[in-house]
Amino acid sequence: MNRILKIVFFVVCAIAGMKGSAQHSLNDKLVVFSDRNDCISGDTLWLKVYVPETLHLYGNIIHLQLESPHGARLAGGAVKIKGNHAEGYIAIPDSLQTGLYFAHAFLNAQRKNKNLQCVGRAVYVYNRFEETIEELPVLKNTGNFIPEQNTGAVEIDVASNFQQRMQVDGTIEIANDDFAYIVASATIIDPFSEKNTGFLNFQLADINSVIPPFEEKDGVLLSGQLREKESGKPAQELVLLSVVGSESYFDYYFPDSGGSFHFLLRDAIGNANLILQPLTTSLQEYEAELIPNFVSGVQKIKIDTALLTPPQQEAITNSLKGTFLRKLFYGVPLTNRQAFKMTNPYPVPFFGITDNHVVPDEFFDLPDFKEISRELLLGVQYRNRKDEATFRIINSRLDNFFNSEPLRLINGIPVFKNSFFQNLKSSDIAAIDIVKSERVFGDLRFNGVLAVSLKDKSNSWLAQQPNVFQLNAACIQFPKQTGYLAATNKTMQPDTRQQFYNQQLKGKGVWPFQFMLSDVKGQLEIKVEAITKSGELVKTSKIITIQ
Amino acid sequence: MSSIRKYTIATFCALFALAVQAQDLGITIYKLNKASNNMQSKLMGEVFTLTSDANYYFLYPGDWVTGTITLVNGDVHDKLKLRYQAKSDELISYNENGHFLFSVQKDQVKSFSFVDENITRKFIRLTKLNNQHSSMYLEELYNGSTSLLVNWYIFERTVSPYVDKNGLTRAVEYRLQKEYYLYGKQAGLQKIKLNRRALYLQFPENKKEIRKILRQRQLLVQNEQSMVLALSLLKENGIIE
Repeated sequence: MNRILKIVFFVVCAIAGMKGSAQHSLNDKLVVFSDRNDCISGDTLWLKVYVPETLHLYGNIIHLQLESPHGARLAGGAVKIKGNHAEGYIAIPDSLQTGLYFAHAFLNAQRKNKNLQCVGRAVYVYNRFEETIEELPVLKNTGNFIPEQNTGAVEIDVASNFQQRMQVDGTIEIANDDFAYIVASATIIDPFSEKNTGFLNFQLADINSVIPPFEEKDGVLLSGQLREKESGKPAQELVLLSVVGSESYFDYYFPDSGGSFHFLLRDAIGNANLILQPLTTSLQEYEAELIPNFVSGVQKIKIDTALLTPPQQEAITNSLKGTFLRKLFYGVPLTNRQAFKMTNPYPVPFFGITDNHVVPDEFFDLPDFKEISRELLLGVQYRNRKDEATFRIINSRLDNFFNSEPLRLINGIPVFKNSFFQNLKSSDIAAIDIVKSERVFGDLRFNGVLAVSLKDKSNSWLAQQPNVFQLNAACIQFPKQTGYLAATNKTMQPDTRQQFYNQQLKGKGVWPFQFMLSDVKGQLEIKVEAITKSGELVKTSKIITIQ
Repeated sequence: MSSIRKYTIATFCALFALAVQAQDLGITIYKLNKASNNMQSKLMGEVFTLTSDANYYFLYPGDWVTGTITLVNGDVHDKLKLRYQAKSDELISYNENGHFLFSVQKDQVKSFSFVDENITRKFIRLTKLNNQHSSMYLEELYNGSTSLLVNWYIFERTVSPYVDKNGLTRAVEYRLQKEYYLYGKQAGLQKIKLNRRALYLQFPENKKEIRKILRQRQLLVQNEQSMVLALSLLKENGIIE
């Protein structure tokens, strides 16, 4: 009997310990909050991330990702941490199938951690072209959802009944300073997703082992692989990187034996247009590709199927119709997907301070580069013999000409064929910079530099060039606030918004909120979700009815 | 004679093979390795040609020492072979992969340090002086709201002809000189001599207090160490921040 008591005691202690550790673990992992439980394909899912202080040593860039139950990365983005908070968005692909998906996040420096965990969200996506949805995938074990305890420390003060298009005014009162992170949101309840989604603990696994656990600070790590085109074997040629639009920036990487290369694009915001080139004199052709930075979290998730009840079906159908009407009446807001901004991380251009800066527009028009070099470029020899052009630049320190070619750049991109210069007229060129000394950049040396900046920045001259790869890469997202469609005053136009509010609250105090309701009837949940300083997930919500 | 020719040819071949150059590409690369891939940032500069004059008279310390460079963007490059070129106020580094010397791009440097005869010497680059753009390296002996900085420079003077270490006849002599400055962000650089009068002039309103403190501690300000100690005492007693 005594032994049985002992065993029972140990089992109880073990369970209590496990529960305790699970609660405490929220203080050492990222926690992702979404503004909704469901969305329509083509929508934008807004995410806020709690970043505990213990993770600050892993850098200040968080990768948000949307993963399918089969472990595929569907969309994502990188955002910068501010204090214990980061926020960003995931553009849900327009063609994404109806189903259950998972939003989670990671810091790149954590990727090799054996026990890498993140608290993320399960989110339903309904394909906007579906007419009726009768069944949907659900988690096999709903016990996987992390329970959100009720807290008495948060009070939502708002009326219970509203009419369509009325203004909702209320306050959220946080009674104490027990919370590390608080998010308030207001959204129309979708009965199915409300019941079948929530916070999930993801055990993240590194899928791309070639990506190093590099601490990303103020920039994203771009990784890729260089291979021989014919054999597919990894190549170990020096890879040069130029960024379109940042002519004073340049970088290089000497790949490892697997052909992997990595670049940190510091302070790069938006979608970068990259030019990659292997530095080679051989005729060998190569292939270069970028490897998406992704860690998977769905290995341990089991999926089942559930039939929808008629009210659940009706709510989803209404939501789909609402999206259709919204797109019909308001169109799709055009976002500049190509927007990109990057400041040179170096105080001077990578090739140093120029000795001569020539603006050809200040002179007579000249028909070709031979004339330009002869008339405008002091200390530059341009010779064209037997259809082969050569450049030489004077070494101003030793007062003689270098005996090899200078580094030649067009729009900041290294050029290895002098024929590109031959037919350039002075009217094509915005400016020419010349450096007349032997420059050093890392382990590379340049015998002078000739940098030509064209008026045309399209870089069309690169097209069809072998071993020149133009690739797009998403860098840090432009900081944006939750961009819900504004309420409309036009009574003739339908207003089908379902999300109204999504805000981080700073702590103790009374936080007023207000928003305009749409034409959508039903129940609206105003909820406050928070993480306590002791690492517990808590929730307070209030349901209001829209008639 | 024949063997000399053979050796000469062999040496030239070896040198040619060592420098794996892609000369027509405009980029000279040497034996690149993992260390070449510093993803945070690369050091920039200009190839430095070492002359015997520079080696004997202008570069400090007397031999290459291991040091650290902190860049303006906060990146730190350590375990570098460094020397300070006092004549032209440049930091010279040795690139171990390429086996070449280069003067580090000044705009990139925030500070550098190296150990010279068991003393860690830290140089900072002064970027602003009395609201004017400036770019000069000064050794930092004391860091505070009022810092003690040293300007190293080479004084060149004409002397009677003499034969130097290399057997060359010379009529000039180079000497390393040091000038001391107190530096505050508001006051800028104030040239001083290492004595207590410099402190009285710098803080005239606290003259009596300073005299009392120095007397109590029996501190005679006459060299770098005693001036650093005096500034620490002034900080302790709240005269400077």
